[in-house]
Parts: sequence; structure tokens; C-alpha cells
Amino acid sequence: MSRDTDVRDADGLPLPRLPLARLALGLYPPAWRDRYRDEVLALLEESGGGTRAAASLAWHAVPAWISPPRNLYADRTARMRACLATVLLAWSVLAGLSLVFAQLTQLQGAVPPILTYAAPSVTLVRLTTLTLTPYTAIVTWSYHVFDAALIVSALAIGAGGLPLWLIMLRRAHREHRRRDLARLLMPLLVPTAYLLALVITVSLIRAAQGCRVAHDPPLVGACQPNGVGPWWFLVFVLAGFAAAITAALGPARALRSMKPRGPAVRFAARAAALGVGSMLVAALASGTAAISLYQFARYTDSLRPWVDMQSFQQYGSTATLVVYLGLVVAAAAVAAVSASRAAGAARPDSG
Amino acid sequence: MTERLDRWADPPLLVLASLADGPKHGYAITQDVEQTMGVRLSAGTLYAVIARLEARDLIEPLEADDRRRPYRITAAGAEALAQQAERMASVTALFRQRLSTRPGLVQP
Repeated sequence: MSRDTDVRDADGLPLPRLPLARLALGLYPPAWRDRYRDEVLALLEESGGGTRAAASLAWHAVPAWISPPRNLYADRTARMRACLATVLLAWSVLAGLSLVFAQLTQLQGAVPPILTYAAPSVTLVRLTTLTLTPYTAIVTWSYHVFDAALIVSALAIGAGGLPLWLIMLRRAHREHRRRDLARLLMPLLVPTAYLLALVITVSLIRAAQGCRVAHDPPLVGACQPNGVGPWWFLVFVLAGFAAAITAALGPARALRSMKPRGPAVRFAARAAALGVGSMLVAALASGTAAISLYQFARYTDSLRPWVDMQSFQQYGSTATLVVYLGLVVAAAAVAAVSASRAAGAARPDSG
Repeated sequence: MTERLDRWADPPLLVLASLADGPKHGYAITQDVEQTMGVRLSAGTLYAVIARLEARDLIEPLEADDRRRPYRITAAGAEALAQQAERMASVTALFRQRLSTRPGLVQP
């Protein structure tokens, strides 16, 4: 396969390098790229590969991931490996989103039943209680379902992938495949490095703020004993996603280069289906809780001129809700399709 | 309006029709489809279609000439194209028959 060489036409004139098209082709699954990349570039060198061609290529990369042509994967083990790699990445993103959700809601004590309020009339208090109770019940139950499903999902992915991971680790060690060894250790090393960096950075931030005593109410510009500011939080979240994706990319690349076979791959594929299924339940529960909290916040906000109550304004942001739900749905769709394909390929009667 | 109807064209069918008179590589397919059927296929659409048709054994790749790989329609592909052509012919006949009942609606 020729790569990014200086390609020339029959008259020896250099052909266009097509940077955008090459970038768009980078979005396709590796097997698709191996099979069609050179042909597509040859076509674009003749027909011209502008922004429109690159955009069209990028758009068609989505179905190439979601439903890759079967002929690109010679046997079902290859199909399982490809799907497992995609599941790992999508599951890591979903796990990251779940942790962000937990940090912003459950761990902040955002349980609506603790709400206390006072209204000028008994009727208004009763009416407020009657209206808010369903929201609090939904949020509380959603938290329980979310916690249980997340634990099941993490156990299924961990236990299902462990035998395959150990087999690959032993083989990489035995065959002196240092690069694969490093890739396989990334799920351990990267999160550890991230957590260490997180703890050190938070300690430094809090030390720089020069205050260890909580103020009630918090002073403007004073230290925040229970956390960091919103910009630092955003930095940690983005770094966390980068770490999660990097950690998942390691075994995904090792799967591709080591091409493991046997029952451990089938076991991992079936466990991936269970892990993703549970994660979808967790995602649904977190989405339900997020929407309920959003409605709860909007409703309580509208009551506040008449009823003296705690503000849940931070959960009333439409943009945050839309971004969160959009990311969850996208990652869940990719994970669900890949996991079902992996499980399908693991079936004994699969061709 | 006529140009907008091009959007209804079915790219897999166009590619099969293009390959019906002999093997062609990607660029030759796009040129043929544009010149004979008036539809411009983008590289993304073309290779999404080629991958699907290949997976369903309706076309097959031949030996690559440098980086350009020609494709050939298979017997199954020719049969699928013939069946589709028959369906389209019967639908076209129906269109014509219904339009003939409304003389003057279509300008000659």
C-alpha cells in the first residue's frame, strides 16, 4: 500500500496532496482505510478533492463505523476484535460522562427531598410539595438505578476483558512486543497518572488560595475547601476524557496488532454486550435524572418570588442538558451497535 | 424541478448500471454516471456504495492497476439490475399510461 508519498501523474507532474481528504479518510475504521484509502485518493487526484469531497467522505465515515461492510473482516474473530475496540472507546466515553454526571449531581448532595421552604400560605406550601414530590421521587430512583447499572457495567467490562487482557499481556511479554506491552498497560498507567496529577494539582490550587477554613457564606475570591473553580473543573473534565480515550486506545491498538483468537475473545465479546447493556441503563437513568433535575430547577426558580426555597439554578441550564444528552446518545448508539455486532459474531452459528 | 429529481436517483443502482457494460475503476464510474445518467457521485458516496455492493457480492474487484482498482458486475449483480430495470419499466409504463389520460397536462 502506498502512503503519503509524493505522487506524480503519467507526465511526471505532482498530483495534489489533498490534506482535507486525507484527514477525512483518517476518520474511517482501519480495515476500511486499508482496503479503500488508496483507491479514494487516486480518484480524488483525478477528479479534485476540495472541501465538499472531504465533507462527503467525513459524513460517510459514520455508517462505516456503525455498520462496517462484512467483507472487510475476513472471519468472525476479526469482526469481534474490531467491534471490541470500538466498544472499549465508546464505553470509556460513557463511563467518563457518568462520572461527570455523578460529580455534578449526586456528589453535590443534589437530592431534592432535602429541600425546605416557607410560603406565605399553607395552600401554597401544599401545592408546592404536591408538584415537586414526583420530581424528587424520579431523581432519587434514577440515582439508585444509575448506581446499580454502573457497577454491573464496570464489573462486566472488567471481568469480561480480564482473561483476554492477561493472555495478550503474557504473549506480549513472551514475544518481547514492547509496544504492545505498553499499549496493554495503558488502562492501568494512564488513569493512575491522571489521578495523581489531579490530586497534586488540586492540592497546589488550594495551597495557592492560602486558606484552609471554610467560610459560610463563601467569600468572593476566597478558597473553596470542597473543590476548585468552574474553569479548573472544566480542565479536569477534558483531561479526564483525554485520559479515558488514551487508556482505551491502548488495548484497542493491541487488539489490532496482536490479532488474538480463541474463547477469550468470544467471552470478551459477550461480556461487552452485557457491559454496554448495563451502561445503557445507567445512561438512561442519568438522562432521566438530568431532565427531572432540569425541570425541578426551572419550576423552583419560577416559584422563588413567592416561596422561600433553596435554588437549584445550576441544573436549569438548557445548553448543559442538551450537550450532556447529545454526547450520551451519540456514545451510547456507537457502543450499542458495536456491542451487538460483537455479540452476534460470537454466536456459534455466526458466519 | 428536473434537477431536484436527481436526488431520487439510487446510487447503488447507478453504479451497477455503469458496470453493466464492462469493468471500470472509481473515477471512470463517476464520469460514466455523470455523463450518461446526469448524476454526480461524490467520492464518499461512491465508495460507501462500492463497499456495500462488494459485501453483497453484487460486484467484485479486479487486479489493481497501480492504485486504481477496477470493479466488475457479478452474475448476482446483473440479475439484481435486470429485476430492478423490469420494475422500473413497469412503473414507467404506469406513469405514461396515467399521464395519457390527462392530455394537455404535459407540454409536448
